[in-house]
Amino acid sequence: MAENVSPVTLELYQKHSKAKVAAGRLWPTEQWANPWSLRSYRRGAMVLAAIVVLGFGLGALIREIGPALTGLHHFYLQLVQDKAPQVPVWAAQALWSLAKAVVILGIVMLNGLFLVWWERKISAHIQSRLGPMFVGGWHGWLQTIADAIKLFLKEDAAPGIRDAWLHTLAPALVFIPVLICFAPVPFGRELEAVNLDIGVLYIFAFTGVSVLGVILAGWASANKYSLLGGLRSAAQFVSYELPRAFSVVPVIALAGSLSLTKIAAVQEGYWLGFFPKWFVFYPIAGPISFVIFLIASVSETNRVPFDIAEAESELVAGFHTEYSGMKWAFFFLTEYAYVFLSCAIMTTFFLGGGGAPLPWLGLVPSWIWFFGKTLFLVFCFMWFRWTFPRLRIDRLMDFNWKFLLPWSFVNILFAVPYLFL
Amino acid sequence: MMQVLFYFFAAIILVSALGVVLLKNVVHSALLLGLCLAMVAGLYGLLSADFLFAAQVLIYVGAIALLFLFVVLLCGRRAEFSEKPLNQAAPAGLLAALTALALLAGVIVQSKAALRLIMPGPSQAGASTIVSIGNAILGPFAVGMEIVGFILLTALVGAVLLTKRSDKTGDVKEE
Repeated sequence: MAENVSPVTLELYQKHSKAKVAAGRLWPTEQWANPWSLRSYRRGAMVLAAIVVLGFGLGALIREIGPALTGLHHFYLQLVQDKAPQVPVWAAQALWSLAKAVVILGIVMLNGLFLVWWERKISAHIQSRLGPMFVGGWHGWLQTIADAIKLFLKEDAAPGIRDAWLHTLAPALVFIPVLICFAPVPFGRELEAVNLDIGVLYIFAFTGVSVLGVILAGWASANKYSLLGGLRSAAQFVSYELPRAFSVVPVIALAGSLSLTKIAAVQEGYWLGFFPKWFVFYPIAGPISFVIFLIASVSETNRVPFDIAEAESELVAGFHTEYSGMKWAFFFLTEYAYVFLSCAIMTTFFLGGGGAPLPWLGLVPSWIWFFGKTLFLVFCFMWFRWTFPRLRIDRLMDFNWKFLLPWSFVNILFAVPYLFL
Repeated sequence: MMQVLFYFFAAIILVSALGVVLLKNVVHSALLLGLCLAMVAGLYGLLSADFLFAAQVLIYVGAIALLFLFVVLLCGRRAEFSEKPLNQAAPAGLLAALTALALLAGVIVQSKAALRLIMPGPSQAGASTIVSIGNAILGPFAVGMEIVGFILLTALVGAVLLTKRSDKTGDVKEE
């Protein structure tokens, strides 16, 4: 203990902690920190558990919202037909689709607001800090909204020799595809915007368009660090796209469909009445697919340990060095949207979508399970970010081409026996 | 509705294709190439060829336009501005373009009847083409697909070999 600690603290420390330290019951990082930390960690864990239980309980009260929305859709079409027969059906449908698009836009925006705050809290706790604590009162929950207002009011500072058109176009080109990608994602039973037969291919296709925006941002900034970031991003994306796509091949083959709704539906049911039939639990092929997809997804979303396109210690901030204000915010919004999208499709491919892990837990509706699993995977993404150091670019490429890609090929062979079961 | 969308896509395709050829800035050209290819994907979508639509976006916009941009950026800022888009090979290029146009027009005129037969009508709109494409590729055209795959693999390995540095003895050496 330091000398300037008050005698009362010292006494409390000795009373509460010494015996526990001796018994090895304190958290290892907390042994020499303040004596109340273990108690507050316990309280924090209890608050977290209470939030989770409350969320699940609330969900169980609300029940499924997918069928209700389908009913609302039919009611709406009927209403339009009865009250305003001169309105063509396609116009009514277009309005309904627009409403869906607005909902997805809302999800993406709220997701950005929440994940930024969450990431700051997680990083803080991993590093024994507190993170945002003041704005809004409870654990700084309004911090990101305050940040967003600041970003809206910020001056749009950009280099004079930039390519002005492309400099403005790049954030839009990065952001729009992620909105498009959310269309076939089933957020629960009957909760997808559209059930596309080519869902998987569609998501992979439009993810690639975002990278064009990243490269353009790098080039249009007229900055060598930005340009390097853009080039790295392109090389990394094109490489990691391959194992990511091939690791899904076993899932597609087993489900017999490219539709995300169908893939989630195939995983319903339980082995022996209690063990969920999720693809991640298929021996050998399932876990390998999942891990390859997870690693490739972390890389595709440009996050540590694969964030060589930003690489603060090498490239200032990579492709978005010369961006500020809302243009800059769009890059971050897109990154978090892609994190959420990756986790959502991972949930659909490998964790049974909205399926409950135990039969009697089916009381809680599918959309709660879906968001729960997805947010857990998002937490894993953040956990990786604050745990692993960044890979060097050549090792990054070696790891992809010499390890992930061959294993994703071999894994397709591992999945073959399941096709004959 | 379909007509309006078709002319919308077609107009953007034509304008962006002209832009690819006429613009002085190479990066702008590459970007417009991406736009042109994306709009072709839109046309596929209109024809309810959903697999072609996604494959076009995935391969042409997401990979080929991307690689074009990559190469252009690797060349640096000096390569961006050439003095004029036309050089002394322009007449020859025009001739080649006209020949290709005539060939395509001939094929289109001749195959009009055939097109009407295989075009998906409005009744089929919404049904996925991916099952029939998969059956065709792994059924009657399986041998052809395998051969194409083998040729592409050979090209891939050849490209890797060509770009590797070799020392005087001719042995391939790692960098």
